[in-house]
Amino acid sequence: MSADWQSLTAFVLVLLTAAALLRRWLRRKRHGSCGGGGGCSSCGGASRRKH
Amino acid sequence: MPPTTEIAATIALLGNPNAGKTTLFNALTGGNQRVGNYSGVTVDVKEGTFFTPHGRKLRVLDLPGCYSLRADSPDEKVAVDALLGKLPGAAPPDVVVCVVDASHLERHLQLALQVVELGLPCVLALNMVDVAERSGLRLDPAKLAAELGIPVLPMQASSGKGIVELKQALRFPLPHAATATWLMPGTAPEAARRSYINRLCELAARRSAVHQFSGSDRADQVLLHPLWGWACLVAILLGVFWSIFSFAKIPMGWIEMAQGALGAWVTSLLASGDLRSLLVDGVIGGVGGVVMFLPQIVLLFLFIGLLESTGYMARAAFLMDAVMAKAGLSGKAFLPLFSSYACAIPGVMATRTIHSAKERLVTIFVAPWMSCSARLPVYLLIVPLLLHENEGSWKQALVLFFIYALGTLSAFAAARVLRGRLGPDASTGHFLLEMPPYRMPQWSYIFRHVVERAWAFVRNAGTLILGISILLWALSTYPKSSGGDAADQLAHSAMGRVGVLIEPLVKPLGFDGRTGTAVLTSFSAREVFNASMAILFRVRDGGDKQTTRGMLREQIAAATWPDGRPLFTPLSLISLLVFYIYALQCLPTVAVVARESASWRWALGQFTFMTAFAWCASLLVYQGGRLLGF
Repeated sequence: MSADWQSLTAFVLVLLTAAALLRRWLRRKRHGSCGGGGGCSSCGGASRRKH
Repeated sequence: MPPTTEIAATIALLGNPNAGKTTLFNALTGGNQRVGNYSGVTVDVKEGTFFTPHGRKLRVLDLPGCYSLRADSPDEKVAVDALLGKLPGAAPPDVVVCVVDASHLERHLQLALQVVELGLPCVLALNMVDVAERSGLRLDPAKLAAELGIPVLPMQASSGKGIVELKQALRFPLPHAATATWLMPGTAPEAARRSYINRLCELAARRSAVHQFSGSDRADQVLLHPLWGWACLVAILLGVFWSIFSFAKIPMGWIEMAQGALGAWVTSLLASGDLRSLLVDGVIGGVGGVVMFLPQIVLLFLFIGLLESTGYMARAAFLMDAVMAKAGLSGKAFLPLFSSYACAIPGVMATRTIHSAKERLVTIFVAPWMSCSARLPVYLLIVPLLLHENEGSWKQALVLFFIYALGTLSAFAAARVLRGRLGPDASTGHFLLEMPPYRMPQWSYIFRHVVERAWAFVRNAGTLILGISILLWALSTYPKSSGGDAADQLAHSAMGRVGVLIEPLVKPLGFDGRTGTAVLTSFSAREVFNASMAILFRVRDGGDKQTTRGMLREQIAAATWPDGRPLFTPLSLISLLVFYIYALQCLPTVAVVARESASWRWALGQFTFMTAFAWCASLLVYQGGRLLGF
């Protein structure tokens, strides 16, 4: 029973994560390459500029 | 008067490169824009606000440095357009603060006179007066102001001296435009400016008769020496890499301990099941595989900040100029390429300082081959596996040095080939390298910059890497098999199936399907490779015995092919390193290249070429090595 509860929670977490990543990707697509702040994983906003 | 929130006027900071505009901008606004003791750091207009002592809110624009108002290069054009109010939605500034380096007054005044000629109200900020006075220059700002007819303010922007006086000078009514008295009918403006500046300097900026041999001059005798200069450059770089391996050991240990404790706590809290696996293998293992390299990232940016702030970077550019010339690039390409060691995105943007369109395109093309900091976690995972040495050894630093050198030399070779194919420029540009004096590092700026970069790294790990780690865990878990061990489960999962599909493509490079899948996932961000490896090679129960990193390296070292042969031999590890040196696995860089080159074809061509080149280079290394009996 415990394992079932865990499986369901893990699955819901995965779905929520997928939705969040999709939302982030769509936002960045709308705002352009740098997404309005820190498009690059390392520069942390060095490419930031107004759109 | 109570402070108002409405913008009362716009002030533009203009000056030659490395005059200290951004330092002044940061001092006025309390901002943290990037500064460096060399030219061409600012390539775009930066905007901020500050209050005068009279409570007026002023907008301040930090313009890219330029030598004249001729606007030869894209960054100079941005500055001139901002000055003339030609930028979309921006009016001309109400006052121009001309920032001049007091120790190079003759040259820097040329630009200030051109601004006065335009009829714009101007204030002269006489920056770095301390350096000028140490070099034996006797300045008379009052006489300079009387001659020019504009306010002249001595200052030392790096230590905040003269900032209050500048804010006082920007009180209302704002200064009026002065008259360009030096312009005479029948005389060329350049000649008129030159003779006027000579007269000004005789009056208000006299040099002592004896040339003083400064500390910077003495240091440059060694650091710019054709032989010792190179030896020092190599020694400095080796020292940086050695420090990255050595000094980070203690803080890395703390992070690993915290990670292990967290894993153990979750394991003790939850019974064996999917949620525990997601948290321990996916979240803690995946994110931990990236976060553990935070101390190295901090050290890398600390050293870059030190080299920039002290003025050594201009010396490195001077030494590299001859090498760059052989690659068909001018010294102007040095800064964009060097910036790419931190991240290719600001590096590509910094190419705006390059006058020649063809040289700019070539520099943009090769910039991603300068190993960026996102590759560092991957290198740091693989290099110790390659050497089986204790961390902190000189051998590891040497391997890292060779990795960076290989990327750099390959970039130069590619630039040479491309320059040859694109043909000569219609107009030849000029490269003027100003050798700034050595200065004490601006510790407050370096500290803020390092904290900013470290926070960006952690934020990225807590958002993108966390999300991708959870998805990778899901792909390596679903669809679930009815029984069998962990290996059967992985083979049955979506990722296992992708691995089977991708294996024929990566097997010639010495990788199995799991490694191939990890490489594939790292096209979203290079650091994801570590998270993928942690999930695919299933680092279980990280808190029970050893730390995750040790476990991950052990798992990778112990991994085998189905026939029992070791999966990661020295040859396949080198092949993996070579792939990461050359592959362009950064989609934001592709987008920025498309914007800066105004060509998606160029950006996609670069991506395709670099991916194909990385594959071929890895193939050559692995198959060549096998033929030679390794």
